[in-house]
Amino acid sequence: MKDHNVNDELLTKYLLNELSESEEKQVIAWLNESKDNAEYFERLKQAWNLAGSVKLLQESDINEEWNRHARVREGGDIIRKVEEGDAVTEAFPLHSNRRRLLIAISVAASVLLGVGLYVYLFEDKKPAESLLARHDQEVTSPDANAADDINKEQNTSETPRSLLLSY
Amino acid sequence: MLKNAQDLAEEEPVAALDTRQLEQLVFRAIEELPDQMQTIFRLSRFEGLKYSEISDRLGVSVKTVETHMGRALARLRKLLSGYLKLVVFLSGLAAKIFFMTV
Repeated sequence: MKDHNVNDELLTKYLLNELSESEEKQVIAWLNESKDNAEYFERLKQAWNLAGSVKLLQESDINEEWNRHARVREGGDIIRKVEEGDAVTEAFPLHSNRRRLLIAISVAASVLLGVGLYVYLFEDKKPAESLLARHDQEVTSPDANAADDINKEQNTSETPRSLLLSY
Repeated sequence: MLKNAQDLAEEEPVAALDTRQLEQLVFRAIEELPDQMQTIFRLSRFEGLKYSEISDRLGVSVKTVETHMGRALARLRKLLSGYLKLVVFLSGLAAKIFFMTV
C-alpha cells in the first residue's frame, strides 16, 4: 500500500461498519485485488480482536487488586484486634472451621500432655522400685553369696537339700 | 523501570509469547498511544461507541476520530505483526485442512 494511513483509516472504518457506501465499494475492491491485501486486513482485524482481550485483562487485574487489598485489610483488622485483645473470638468465630481446628489441636495437646505426665510419674517408678528392692535384698542378705554357691554345687546325695534364708 | 511495548516486542519474538504476556504487550501498546488517540481508541474498542458518538463526547471532528483510530490500529498491527502473521497462517492452514477433509 502506498499510503498506509489512508487505507488503515478506511480499513478500520470498514471493520467497524463506519464506511459510506462508496467507501465500502472502494475497500472491497481493494481487498479483492490481491491475497496480500486480504491478509493485511486480516492482521488489522486480529489486532483489533487482541486489543479487546486487554479489557478483560484490565478487569481481572482490578479484581485481583481488589481481592489483594481486601486480604490486606482483613489481615490489618485481625492485627488491630489482637492489639485490642478481642482477636480470638473475632478471628475464630465459634462455629468456624478455624476455631474447630484450634479446639481439636488443644484437646490433642492436652491428651498428649496427660499421657506424658502419667508415663513420667507412674510407669517409670515401677522398674525403679523393683530394682531398689532387689538391691536391698542383695545388701541385707548376708548369705546371698553362700546361697548362690550352694545352688551351683551339684547335688549328689539322694536327700533333698534345703536352705533357709533369714534376715 | 517499566519496559515499553516496543522493548517487550523486541526482547522476545511476539510469536513465542504466551497469552498473558501477549495481553500485557497489547495493554502497554495501548497505554503508550498519545493521550487523545488512546482515549478515542478506548471509547471505540472498550465502550463500543460509534465515531459520531466519540466525536460528540470529546468535542472533536469525526475526521479526527477516523485518523486516530486508523493510526492506533496500524500501530498495534505493526507491533504485533510477528504474532499476527502466525495467527493468519494457522487460520489459513486450519481452513485448508477443514475443506480437504469435508
